[in-house]
Amino acid sequence: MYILGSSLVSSLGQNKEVHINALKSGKTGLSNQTAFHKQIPSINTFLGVVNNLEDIQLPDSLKRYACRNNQLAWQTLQENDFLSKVNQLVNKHGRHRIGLVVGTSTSGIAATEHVFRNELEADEYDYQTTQQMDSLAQFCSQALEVEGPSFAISTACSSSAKVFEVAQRWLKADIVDAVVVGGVDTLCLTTLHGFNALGLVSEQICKPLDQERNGINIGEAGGFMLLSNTSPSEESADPVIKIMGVGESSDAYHISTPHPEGEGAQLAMLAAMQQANIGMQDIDYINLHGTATPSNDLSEISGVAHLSTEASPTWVSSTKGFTGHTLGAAGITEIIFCQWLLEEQFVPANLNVTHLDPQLTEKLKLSTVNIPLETLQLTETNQKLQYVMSNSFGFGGNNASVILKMESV
Amino acid sequence: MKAQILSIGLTAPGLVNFENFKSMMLQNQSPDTSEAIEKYSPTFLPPNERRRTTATIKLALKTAEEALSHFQQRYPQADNKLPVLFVSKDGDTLISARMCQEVGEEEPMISPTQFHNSVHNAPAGYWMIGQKNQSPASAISVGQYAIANGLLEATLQSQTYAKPVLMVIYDLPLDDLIPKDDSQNAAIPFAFSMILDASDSNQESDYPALNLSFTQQAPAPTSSNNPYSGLPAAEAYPLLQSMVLFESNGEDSEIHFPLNRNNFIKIALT
Repeated sequence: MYILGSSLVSSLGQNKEVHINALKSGKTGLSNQTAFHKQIPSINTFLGVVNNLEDIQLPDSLKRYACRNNQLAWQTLQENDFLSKVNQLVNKHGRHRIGLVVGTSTSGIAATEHVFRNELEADEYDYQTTQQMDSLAQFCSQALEVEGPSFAISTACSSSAKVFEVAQRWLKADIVDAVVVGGVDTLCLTTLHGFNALGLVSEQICKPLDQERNGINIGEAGGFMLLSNTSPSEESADPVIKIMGVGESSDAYHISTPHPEGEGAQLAMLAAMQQANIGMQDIDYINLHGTATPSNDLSEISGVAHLSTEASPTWVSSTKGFTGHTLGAAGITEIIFCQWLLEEQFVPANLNVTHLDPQLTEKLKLSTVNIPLETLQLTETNQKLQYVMSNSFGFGGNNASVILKMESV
Repeated sequence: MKAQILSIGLTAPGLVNFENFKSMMLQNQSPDTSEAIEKYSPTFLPPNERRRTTATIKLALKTAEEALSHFQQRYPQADNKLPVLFVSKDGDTLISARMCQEVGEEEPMISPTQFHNSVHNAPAGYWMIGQKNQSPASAISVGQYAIANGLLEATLQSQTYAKPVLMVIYDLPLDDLIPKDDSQNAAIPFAFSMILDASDSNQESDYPALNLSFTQQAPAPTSSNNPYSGLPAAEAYPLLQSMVLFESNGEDSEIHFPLNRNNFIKIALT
């Protein structure tokens, strides 16, 4: 599948340029002093907030969908020339030939929270267009005026990585000519208090792979990609990036703790590599799920270590130190990062590390897996990124890995 | 595209399982929708996980287990670690509504179990743990378009994985705490499951195959005799009825399910 367009809004900003600049310069979007913190006086943590979301106006015809999650979706669809790219394909193929599949963990549940907090009148509240799990899919289909198959995947933090396999299936079956995939998750109190109750929220800035990592920072993000099996027009000067493989698996281990040896993670990575018809030695960079909880990072690095060999030089890093854990949007956020890293040829630093966890480096000692603590700019070296992989793992032991390739290196 | 049904499960008030439904239909009886759903415990789960399951999770697991048990009896040699697809409009609003109520309190206290049970893929997670199954597991929501999109997705998954796929579509009424209008109040829980095979295995079956095709035209809906009408999962009732008729006297039928606002999937039993 070819990537014909993408759009991303996170706490780092709202277009490619600001994201690239932040990733290159090591500038985080996380903060412990945001407007949202007022709503969680009992929780001391860093958040990745998209500012002024509540001011985003939806068009009159879609007003009933108004909630933080759909506001972020709307903003993301407007940015990065995404709408016009979708419109071009709608004009070319017809509405019913464009599919839409999006991931979210909590949809617009914040609207229901507002009712219970007396911040929203019950008669101004509509469950179906806000909290209902497919509200995001309904909203985006109507906003883009597409009429192919459409639904929301909600498998916690792997939601918006699994959308890629659905797009593959639809395109292969020739029931659509293009697919909008994506994911949006926005800050809400149930999630913040829920993760806090599990003891997984860090009071410090999150430190993936660090010896002293002690939990996640929650962020919000919206991301969309336009995919098709037809290559982008030849006049375009942009490098051609393809989705080469998607792999999914289950841990079958525990409802909220990952398998200690990353068994499920390995199965997902292997399935993605099998579909891409490559091996670990071909992967140049892995964007880790890397949430900064003690158990996730140990599980994931164990999984990576099991698959790597001395013959597989691979950079791995987590970008959660930039955006926080954007949960149901983590997959699409990091897969768009992977696309942009291929286009711009750099490896982002694994941010906020003081001391890499020796338990993790011990696992990697027989392989040539490297964790960059500074950005690596590859354009002036003879190294390059061709194949990159993104990992996303969620509660319920739900795993997905996606491999991207730069065609014209 | 074609998908062979290899197994079916069914749970609703007044309907214990698909066999029970079949015999009622053949005897022209109507289910008593005012009965409670029969008690069920997911004994395939370790005790710790079992006691954490909620009514919503149990409804999904019971219906999944019925289809898998029948499948294992009918095809004892077959691989029973199937990919799964759980389809539900709302997931567990009993939990999500309580969590929303709790965050309205001065010092919110959410239980860790409540929180991890609140994810839409909780039934999928428990199912895979209990079945020691590391296959892909998905959980989706398609609002009122559950049947068409669920059957389509399960069929395409079966083609992708080249093996049968277990699909469960389940819905329960919205929790009382959630503000809603009257149309959302009258709903009755309903769940059904199918093991669908769209690989090229040509497996023999006790059930018909589904032929799925896309159309922008559908006959105007006739007046419904569906006693469960209300939630998206229950829209499968006429499909399940026609399956019984097909089995008993080979009666052909075509049913249309909406895929979205302007498109339909036509399902023909063969």
